[in-house]
Amino acid sequence: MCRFLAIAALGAAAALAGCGRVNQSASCREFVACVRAQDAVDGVTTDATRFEPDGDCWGGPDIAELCDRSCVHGTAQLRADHSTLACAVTP
Amino acid sequence: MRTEARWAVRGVIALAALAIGTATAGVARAEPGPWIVGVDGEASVIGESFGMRAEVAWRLGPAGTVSHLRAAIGVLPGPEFTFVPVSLGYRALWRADRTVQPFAGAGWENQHFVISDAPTEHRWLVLYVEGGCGFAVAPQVTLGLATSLDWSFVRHQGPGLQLRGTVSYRF
Amino acid sequence: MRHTWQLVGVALLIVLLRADVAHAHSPALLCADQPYAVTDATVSRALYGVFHAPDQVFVITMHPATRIALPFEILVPHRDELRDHRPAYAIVARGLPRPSPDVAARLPRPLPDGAGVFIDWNDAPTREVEFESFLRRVYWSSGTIAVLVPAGDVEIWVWSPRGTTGKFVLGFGVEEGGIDYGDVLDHWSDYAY
Repeated sequence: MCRFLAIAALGAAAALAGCGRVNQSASCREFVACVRAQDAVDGVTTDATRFEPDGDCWGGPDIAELCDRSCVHGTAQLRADHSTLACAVTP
Repeated sequence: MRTEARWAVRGVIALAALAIGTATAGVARAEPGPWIVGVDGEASVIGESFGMRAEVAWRLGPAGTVSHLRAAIGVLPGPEFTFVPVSLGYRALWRADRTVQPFAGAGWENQHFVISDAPTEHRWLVLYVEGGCGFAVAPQVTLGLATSLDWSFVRHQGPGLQLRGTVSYRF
Repeated sequence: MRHTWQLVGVALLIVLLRADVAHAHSPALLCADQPYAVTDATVSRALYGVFHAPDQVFVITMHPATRIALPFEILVPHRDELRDHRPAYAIVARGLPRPSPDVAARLPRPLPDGAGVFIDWNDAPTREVEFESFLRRVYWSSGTIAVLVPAGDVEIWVWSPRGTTGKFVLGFGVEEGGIDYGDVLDHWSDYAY
């Protein structure tokens, strides 16, 4: 019984350890979409991996919050710099 | 070095000198009771702040028992925030009836960083270890020096390191 | 039974010491008279500098192989004597928008030929406040913004438009690249206070 409880605790801990990751925010989903739209105009591919769903932005709540805020301002800046930019979030 | 740090260092040196001088005089002390109340002057090395901490300890058994339960609260103003720790832990205090009284302990702390123009930051799960030595200067009065090291778990991770000069009264 | 408690203790440590909950930039010190070269633009940095004179300009160089989207912000220690200290930063590279003559005149030096610029003037009426947990620091932030940094030769300029002096930290990037703890301890007062 004791060994079962210990193994259960280890399993729960392992599961909880993986729960630190958070989902990509809506703001960064929109930012990445706008980056891709601008890439199509410029004929380049931007390295935006950190903001994508599997990126390092989502490794924990603190960094996720920082990335989310940066995406909000980044999207606004992209639209200010490129008035014809058409990008929207695909739900 | 900042003015507060200079005064903290001077205070610690003065306490140490007084304690050592008194210890060599061979003060014999009795052990009147299970309660200890104390006031510490404290400097936080990680996160610049200087202030006071009040603590109380209760001996977990008859005279001669080393184990104590300790609770403390501090207010340490600094240039970037005011640090408010609240602690609950265990302290082992040896040679309570002698002049030189080493102690060590560990426990849980929650830490609050009061910021003037932003919400207070909280670190709810912090574990600390401490160590130090007291010097009896009167039958119920001890002066001491201590250091504590802590680590904050869960979300706002990070270390802490504090230096303290202590004055305590046993009754 | 003792073996059980040891396993529970290990389980607790796994939960408590999750690497994902702590994020750390690689710190380094800046000098105004020597450009700082970033070898890998993908590694997150916290670059610490001090304006000893109001007309100093700090320069950081990088050479991304491809256009890269990175979050940037500039921080000032949350201290009364630095309340009016608002250093600005500019990312200078070909491929960024060309500034108007008025804006260009406010830069600390002329732009290289063909270069455009992204500027964060750090002049928002109310600044965000950030708590850095590892060294227990509190900062005013310019606000973090994701910027598309072009490929090729890139310079980042940091200067003090208001002519104030004092400490600052320029932060950018996300991916962790390790910390030289020896350097941190050697320059403790520069990083911690």
